[in-house]
Amino acid sequence: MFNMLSDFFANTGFALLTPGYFVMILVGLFFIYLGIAKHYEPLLLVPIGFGILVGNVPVFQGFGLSIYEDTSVLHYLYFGVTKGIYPPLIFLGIGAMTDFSTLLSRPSLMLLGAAAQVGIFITFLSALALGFLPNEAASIGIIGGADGPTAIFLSSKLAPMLIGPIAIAAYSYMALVPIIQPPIMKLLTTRKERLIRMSEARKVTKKEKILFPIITFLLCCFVAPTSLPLIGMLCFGNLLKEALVTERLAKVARTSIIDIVTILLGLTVGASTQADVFLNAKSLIIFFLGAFSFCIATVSGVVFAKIMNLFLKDKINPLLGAAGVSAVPDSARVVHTVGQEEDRNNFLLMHAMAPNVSGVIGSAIGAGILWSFIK
Amino acid sequence: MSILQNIQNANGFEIAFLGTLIVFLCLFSLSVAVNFFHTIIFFLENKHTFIQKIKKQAKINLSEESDFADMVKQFMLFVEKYDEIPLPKFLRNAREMGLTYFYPVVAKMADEGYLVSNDRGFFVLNKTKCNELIGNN
Repeated sequence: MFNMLSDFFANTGFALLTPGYFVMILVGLFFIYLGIAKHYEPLLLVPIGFGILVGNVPVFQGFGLSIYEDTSVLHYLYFGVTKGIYPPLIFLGIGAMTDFSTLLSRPSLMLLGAAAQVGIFITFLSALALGFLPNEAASIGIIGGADGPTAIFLSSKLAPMLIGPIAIAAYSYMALVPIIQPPIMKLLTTRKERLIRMSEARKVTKKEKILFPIITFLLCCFVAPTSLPLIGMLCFGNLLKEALVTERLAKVARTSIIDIVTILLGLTVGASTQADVFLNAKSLIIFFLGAFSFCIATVSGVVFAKIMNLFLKDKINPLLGAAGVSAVPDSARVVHTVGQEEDRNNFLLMHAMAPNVSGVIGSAIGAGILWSFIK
Repeated sequence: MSILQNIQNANGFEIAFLGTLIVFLCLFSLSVAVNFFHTIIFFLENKHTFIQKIKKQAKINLSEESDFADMVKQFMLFVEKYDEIPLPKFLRNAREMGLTYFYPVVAKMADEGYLVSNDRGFFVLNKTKCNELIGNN
């Protein structure tokens, strides 16, 4: 009887608890707190935070409980992450809920989405400099794209062992966009620049909206075929939305599919952060590089907007450059908020959506390019 | 030194440069394509108007009295709400609307006394003469 009780206790989480697991449980609780109390990306941080709790309950190997054991349920769910299945499905949903009108009414703003992707490649170089292998450096660099699904997709192809830290870094910093970006934006712009009002966007016809996903798909995928899984699904989702005759499919893509996949992705990515796998120097460096990449992406977007203003007759508000990082729609919202701090009647949100959604396209292309160079 | 070597060994600079360039080129060509298709769609949707304008521009022969009368009639419609005609504004609007064939019409109207300046120095229509021309044609 005593032996049985002793064996039982030896199998409990309390007996197996190490400081690492304890730290990770605190991290998970912090994510849940940020999501629920602070409303920072709750749809992502709550599943990831709970996933971290799930992954860090200390268990004996052999019970088929850990996400890294072939026989566990979590392992099967994690299959969608390791094989890069979930990210394209999320892109399908994003496509089905994104309105590209503002982008179509002022296509030159697409260049801001391209400029912000400089963060990806500078972080890639920095990771190489710090001794990461090219495949690892590319997966870390893509955090600068500020797009969780893209980061997971590329890591699953190039550095599956780093999916956990990369996904956590990408989603954490996406949630922290309202904290990371404003100081950089204010530092790089004058008050006069922040007060610039954007001219009214022209009306976009239905034909343009239908043609856009088809043109984008063909153009981008012919240039960078490796971006096909992401760009293809994004454009397909958008075509379903804009065609209007497929409204039922679009509705499923932007509600049920994206919700289910977000739950599975968030939970399993969170659960993959088991302390014994996750807590190491590499993860810390990845976190540092992730923050660095977000800062560089913001800087390059804002600076490029200022450079564009040197040549444009109709000036653009350089704050829009910060929306080039693809954290949709948070960075656009941040641009709007920072703009309104100077002028309550300056409405930048819809204008900021243009570089924001082009950032999604840009980061997917960036991922495709890195994949093709380092396959 | 080893930092640079780490990057160079992996062709890091080349990948970063080409990657950035390709992303830019891709989005730039996409923005050009969007503009191009917008122009095509705009043209197709307004084809009728465009073609009418082009035909009209090609057809007008101001030495033909009937053509001139037709143009004077159109000009009168454009300016009917004004007692004194804001000529610079009219010509600017005409240019923006692609109706530049009105320039010689206005010049001929002024030369031949259909458009005269009043005692305040503004242009006004000589309505009697204009109506006479239109009535005869």
